[in-house]
Amino acid sequence: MTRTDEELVAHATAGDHDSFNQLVARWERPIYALAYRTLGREEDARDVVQEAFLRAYRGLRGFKGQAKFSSWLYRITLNLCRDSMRRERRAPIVQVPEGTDPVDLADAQASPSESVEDLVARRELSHAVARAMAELPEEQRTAILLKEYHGLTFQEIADTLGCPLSTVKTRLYQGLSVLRRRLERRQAEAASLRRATWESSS
Amino acid sequence: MCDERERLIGYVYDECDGDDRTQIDRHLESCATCREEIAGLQETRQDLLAWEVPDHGSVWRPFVPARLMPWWREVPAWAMATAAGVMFAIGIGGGATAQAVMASRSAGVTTPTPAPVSVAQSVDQTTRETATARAELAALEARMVSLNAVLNRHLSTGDGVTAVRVADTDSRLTEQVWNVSGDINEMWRKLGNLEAQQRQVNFQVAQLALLAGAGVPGR
Repeated sequence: MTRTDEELVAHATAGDHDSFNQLVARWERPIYALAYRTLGREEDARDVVQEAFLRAYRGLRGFKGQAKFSSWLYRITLNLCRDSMRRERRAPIVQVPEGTDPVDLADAQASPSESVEDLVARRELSHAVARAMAELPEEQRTAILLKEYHGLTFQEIADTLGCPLSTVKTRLYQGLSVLRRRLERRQAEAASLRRATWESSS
Repeated sequence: MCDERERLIGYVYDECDGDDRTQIDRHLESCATCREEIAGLQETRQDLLAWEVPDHGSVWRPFVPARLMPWWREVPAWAMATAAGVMFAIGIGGGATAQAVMASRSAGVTTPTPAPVSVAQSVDQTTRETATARAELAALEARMVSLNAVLNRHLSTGDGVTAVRVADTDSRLTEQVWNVSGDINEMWRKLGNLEAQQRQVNFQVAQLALLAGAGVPGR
C-alpha cells in the first residue's frame, strides 16, 4: 500500500531513511520541473533541487505538518531559485533546445505516428512558451507554474507564496493574458516567416 | 462582469462556486468579448502544455542501511562459482582485445598541444579540489558504514533482531547516522558542482588548443 506524504514524513522524522528516500523519489521530478522552469538551465535546476532536498532532510524535524509536505518543499525550492537568480544577478534564461538534427529529432519523437513536422512544431512551441514565460514578472510566472504544471489550487498557491487569494487570481489572469498576446504574436510571426520562405522558394 | 475580468480566472480553472459559475454562464450567452477572452485563455493554457522539461538523473544519494549478514552469504555456492567463471572468461577476452587494440594504435600516438599556463593552473586547481571532495566523500561514506555497523549491533543485541529498526532504541546513534547521510549528500552536491566546473575548464582548454592549432594568437 502506498503511504501518504504525512506518514512518510512521520517515519523519516523518527530516523527511517527509506521513508525519506521514498519522499525524494515521489517529489524529485516535480521539484526539478519547477526549478528548471523557473531558472531555465539544467545545471542550476539540479543544484537547487539537491539543496532543496538537503534543506528538507535537515529541517524535517522542525516541520510540524502545519502545511502539506509538498507545499513546504515548493516554498523551499522557490526561495532557493530566487536566491540563485539574485546571486547570478540575472533573469531566467531560456536554454536553446536541441537542434534540428534528424537523429536527435527521431529520438525525441513522442510516438512513431508523430511526424517530423509535428515534432518540430512542438519543439518550437515549447521554446516559444519558455521565452514568453521568462519575460513575465516573477510573481506572475511563479503563480502560473504552480497552477499549470503542479495543479495547486488557488488557496494552496496563496499559502505557498504567502499572499492573499485575490492576489493569486490577479497574477494568474494578468500573466495568462500577457502570455496569450505574446504567443499569438510569435505564432503570427512564425506564419509570415514560413509564407515568405515558401514564396521565395517557389 | 466585463469590468471584473479576474472573476473569469476561477471559471477558466473550474475553481468558482456554483452561483458564480451560473452567473458567468449567463453573462457569456450575451457577451462575445468575454466568450472570446475565455477561449483565448483556454488556448494559451493548452499551449503551455508544450513546454517540456529535459530528463535528469537522481539528485539524491539514498542511504540504504547495511545488512547484518553479508550479501554473499545469501547467494548459493553454485551461483557464486558460475559468476566467477563468467567473470574470468570476460577478463581473459577483454584483456586480449585491449592488447590487440593498443598495439594497432601505438603507431599513431600524437603529443597534445600544451595549454597556456593560466588555464593549466585552473585545470590543476579544479582537479585538486575535485580529488579532495572525492576523498572527503569516501571518508564520510566510510564513517557512515562504521556508524551503521555500530547501530546494527546495538539494535540486534539481546533479542536477535536482524533487520534495522530505526526509531527505536538509541536515538543518539540514529541521529548521527541521519546527520552523516546529510553530509554525504552535501558533499555529493559539491562534487557534482566541481565536476561540472571541471568539464567547463576542459572544454575551454580544448577550444584554446583548437585556436592555437589554427594559429590564432592568445594571451
